[in-house]
Amino acid sequence: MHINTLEKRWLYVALGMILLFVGAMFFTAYSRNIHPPSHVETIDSASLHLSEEFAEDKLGVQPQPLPDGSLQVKLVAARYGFYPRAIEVPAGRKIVFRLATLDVLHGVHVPMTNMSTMVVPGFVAEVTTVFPKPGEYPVLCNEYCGLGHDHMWSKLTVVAPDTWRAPTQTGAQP
Amino acid sequence: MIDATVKKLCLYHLWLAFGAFALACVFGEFQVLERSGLIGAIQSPAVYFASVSTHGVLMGFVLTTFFIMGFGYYTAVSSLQLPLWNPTLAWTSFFVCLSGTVMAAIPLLLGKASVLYTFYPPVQANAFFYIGATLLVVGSWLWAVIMLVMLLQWKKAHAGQAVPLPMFATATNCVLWLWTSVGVALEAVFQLLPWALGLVDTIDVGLARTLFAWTLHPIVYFWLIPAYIALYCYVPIAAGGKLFSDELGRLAFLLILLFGLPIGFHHLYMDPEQGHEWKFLHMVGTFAVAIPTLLTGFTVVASLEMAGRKAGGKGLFGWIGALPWRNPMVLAALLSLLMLLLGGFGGIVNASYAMNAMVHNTAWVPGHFHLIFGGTVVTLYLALGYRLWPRLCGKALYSTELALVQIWTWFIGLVVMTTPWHVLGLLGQPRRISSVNYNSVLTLAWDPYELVMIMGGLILLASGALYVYILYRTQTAGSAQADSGDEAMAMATPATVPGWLNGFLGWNLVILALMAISYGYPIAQFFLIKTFDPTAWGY
Amino acid sequence: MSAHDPSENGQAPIGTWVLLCLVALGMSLAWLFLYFGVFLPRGAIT
Repeated sequence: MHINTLEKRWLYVALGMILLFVGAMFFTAYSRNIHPPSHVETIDSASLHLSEEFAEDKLGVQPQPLPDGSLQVKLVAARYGFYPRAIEVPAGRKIVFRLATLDVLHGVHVPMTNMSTMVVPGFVAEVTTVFPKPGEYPVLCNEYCGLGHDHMWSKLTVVAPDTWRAPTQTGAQP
Repeated sequence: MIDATVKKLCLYHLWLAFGAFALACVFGEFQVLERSGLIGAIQSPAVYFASVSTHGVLMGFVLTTFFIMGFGYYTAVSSLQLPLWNPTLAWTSFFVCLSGTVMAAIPLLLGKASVLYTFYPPVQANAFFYIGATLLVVGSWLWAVIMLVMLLQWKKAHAGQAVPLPMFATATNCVLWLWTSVGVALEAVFQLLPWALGLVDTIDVGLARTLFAWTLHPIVYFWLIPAYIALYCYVPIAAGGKLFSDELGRLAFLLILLFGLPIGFHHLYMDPEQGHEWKFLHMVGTFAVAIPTLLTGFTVVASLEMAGRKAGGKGLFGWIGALPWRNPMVLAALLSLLMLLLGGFGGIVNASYAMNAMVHNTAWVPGHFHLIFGGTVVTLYLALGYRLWPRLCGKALYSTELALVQIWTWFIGLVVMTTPWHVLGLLGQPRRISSVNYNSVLTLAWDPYELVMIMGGLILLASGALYVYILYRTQTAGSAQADSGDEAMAMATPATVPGWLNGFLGWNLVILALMAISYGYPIAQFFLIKTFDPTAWGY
Repeated sequence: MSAHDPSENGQAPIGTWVLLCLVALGMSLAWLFLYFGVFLPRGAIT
């Protein structure tokens, strides 16, 4: 097979560019643990209210941090909000979000941050991220979930670490 | 061999395709207006989501499938110089596809199938929607069979010779489509249909999404390949030159076939039902499929450069200005290539594993696919329409001037509409929302972009209407024109090419292996782990 | 085969080569900017 000299050189340039991107992703995946959320954990969406983890009085920011210091937040996605509908967390700290849906597919995203995951019926969605900047953020649903999809949202407040106080118990609804 | 039967078959397919396109443009403008919230009287989530669902099906299933089939019949008879094999089967295919389309359209327009283009469960549509969509896919398989039979007939009569490039690409597309559609066919037959018909109560959503992802990526190559046929076979000649490398064209089509299939998980990066090892694997494959497009860029642009230099262009870039910009096929190619550059880069961003979190399900995604599909792909479909219509109708194109205006306005409309769309995505605006007003400060920044998008949509609507007008006038009021043949279909073919660039039998085994590796366990897991499947939900 | 290759006729697509190298450079810089300058600063994700 004949390839023109310049086209062959271009093929190397193109391959080099591709390898640059793949290499950067490989590097950050294995040195900084940068991955998309991929937990593969099942749960029965029809009986969340009876579950240990996602019963209503267990939701929200958990008082006890995990052994490595990260905070845990448990949310239920349901038409049309993420419950509890207002939560407050500190900036700069690793936060493990665990979500389950009680009805259909939802997507959860906090604009301008990397808090993003699909919430699929039958699965627990777990995503760990850090919020570098304090502020008031909306928590938006970004997957079609019915006619009320455009008003499915909740509030996230990120405060400076020294002003944040852990909740004393779970289950608080605003 | 482009006899009256073939002309009629092509015209029926292409009118259905472009008619669906024009109607979908109207829905599109309604959507951007409704979403902005500027016109209170039209606010309605129910109408909005019925419109989005219909618009998506018309543009992504009807326009595409009927165009590709019609263009395929044209290409097979013209490039192989063979009569159409089994016209009865061809018409059967058309009617099965048409019936499926009508069967799906009725619930869509009545608001009983507002499940969007992707129809993810457990939100459930009326059963006729799923039956109709299935028929559309099955009908297209009949078309693929005809294409492949004609290929084999030709190869038998021309043993050892290189298959003409337009048909090699078309056949690649058929093999691709047959492999691609298996995913959604499995989802439809084993999951959606029994569930929608009430035969089973629950549905495994993780499995459904995984099977749909199998189809969802390579289907875009099913759409892209006919556009690449235009770039490789029509454009160099229209520019006054010839194709820079026939062999590299074949290689590009082959690499799209191989690498375009086993990579669907970049649509599932944010999903919890697949592990990150599989997502990483699919990411690597997705970057591999960028290679044939990067190669295509070189081969096609080099062809244009040679033509431009032949026309007198001097220096490093003078050939660009020397090209015949007033030739609709050339203009369409130049604008399409520019949109391929921008839209292709956006696609690379989408494919970038964890970085997908920045853009997933935000407005960036529709911005991306309107640019790459509405832009790169559809622009060339429209240009092919301009090229084919005179041959199919025996009439001269109604107005080259208007055709150029239409192609420019389509491009301008897309740039105006998709640029703010991408920005909105980076600002975090969700997709698939029927209004953009949240009671949150961060979202107030979105408003000016919506206004610009309304303008872009209006330009596109006018351009789409102009296109259909030009075709209609050509057919009804154009002056009679003798058939001048199709130079692209008669393009010089090398006497021989290596066997691995001339057939598919062995490559199917490679595809099978790649699919087994990429999808084997990820699908099997749903049968190995205990899943809790939800029941149906309305919307 | 050589009759099909313009570069064998003494003409090479040098403009295409330069143009596409610029494209590759632009895409690389843009991707690196997005990945390391926008995406990662929004917070590590796992």
